[in-house]
Order: sequence, then structure tokens, then C-alpha cells
Amino acid sequence: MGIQIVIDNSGDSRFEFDPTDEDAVAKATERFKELTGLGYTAAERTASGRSRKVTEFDPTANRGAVHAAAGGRVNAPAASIC
Amino acid sequence: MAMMVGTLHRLIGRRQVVCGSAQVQPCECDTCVSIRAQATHCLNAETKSRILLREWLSPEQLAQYEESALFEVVGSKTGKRYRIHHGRLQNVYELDEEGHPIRGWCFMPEGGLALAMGDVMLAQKIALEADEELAITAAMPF
Repeated sequence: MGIQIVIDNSGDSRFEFDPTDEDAVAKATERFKELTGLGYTAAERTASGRSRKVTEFDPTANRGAVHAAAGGRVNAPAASIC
Repeated sequence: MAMMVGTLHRLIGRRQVVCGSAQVQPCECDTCVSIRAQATHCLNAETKSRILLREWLSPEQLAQYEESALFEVVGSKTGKRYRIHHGRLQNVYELDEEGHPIRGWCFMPEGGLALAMGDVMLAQKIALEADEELAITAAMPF
């Protein structure tokens, strides 16, 4: 089972999909493209625990837990905050 | 809800020991992954973000975080080390070769003030480990 995790105001939203189900993979691919198109950074957790940027959605990569997580575009907060 | 949290904590507690070392990993079987995903759906944002952050930290980073409320990451481009402290703002420091902080970098994901703290820290880790150049370009030094 694959899973996409999207960081949002609720903490995160998790979307599971079956990598052998064409419709589910199409939906997951569409979500991936939509989020990365909005500027989200997609990454996967490597076996060692490092994060690796993902630019192409591969539903068969990394069986198990987290396939790709998307966090919002990185920005510096307003100067007055820093 | 309490039962859900208890179940989740038990699941998180179910870990696989890597032979020959003290490192532990959450169980990655389909059943455990699926149940963790469903259980976290019912928790509040701060709790979910802490769980997600712990899932994404390496064993070394998790040990650092549990001991000192901070963890270190290695930048993807330069190999520089950074220390991410528990917090949202002014919580990222670049380290010298001896591990001393030499500069602070202020950055967070867009809309980060509305995100839970664990999510902000995870986004900072991902940014530095996956695309250090972009993160540092966007960041403000302090």
C-alpha cells in the first residue's frame, strides 16, 4: 500500500492508494502534480532517515510507509518576525 | 478518542529492532502503516505533527530530539550541518566543523505560522536535506 502525506493546517492529511490499481494511481499522480505545481516540495524518506526530493511520482517506489510528503513552499517569514 | 490515542501509542511503540545495533524503526508492515494512517486522522494538529516528525527523523535525529529538543541535518548541496531546535521561528542554526552555531537562518513553509510546530520543523528538515539551496536562498540570516 502506498501513501501520500500532505502537511496542512490539520497536521497532515494521508491518502492511501493501491499501487496496482490504475485508477488509484492516476488519482495519486494527479494530486502529486497539483501540489508540486502549487510550489509544494515533495520528498520521500530514505531508509537512513534523510529526506530526498521527489520530482516524478513513482507509485512503485518505496513499498510501505511514506511514499511522498509534501510541505508548503519554503519562505522566510516577514522581516519583522525574524 | 482516548482509546484511539492509546491504540496509536501502542502501535507507535511497536518497533522493530535492527539486529546488532540500538537503532529502532516503526513497524512498516501494511497493516501497521494503514492503522497508523487511520488513527492519526482523528488526532489534533499538534499531536499529528509530532507523530509525523518522529516518523521522518532518522534514528540519530530522533535520539537527539528526545534528549535535547533539537536535531541536526546535513544540507543537500554543501554538506554543511544545521541544527533545528524545537520551535517555529529563529530555530535553525548553521554549524561550523566543530558543531558550534555560527549563523541563524530564519525560514518556514508558506503559511507556516498556521501550521503545527512539528510540521514546520519537518518542512525545515526536508528543505535543507532535499533542496538546501532553495531553502537558504529564501531564508533570512540572523
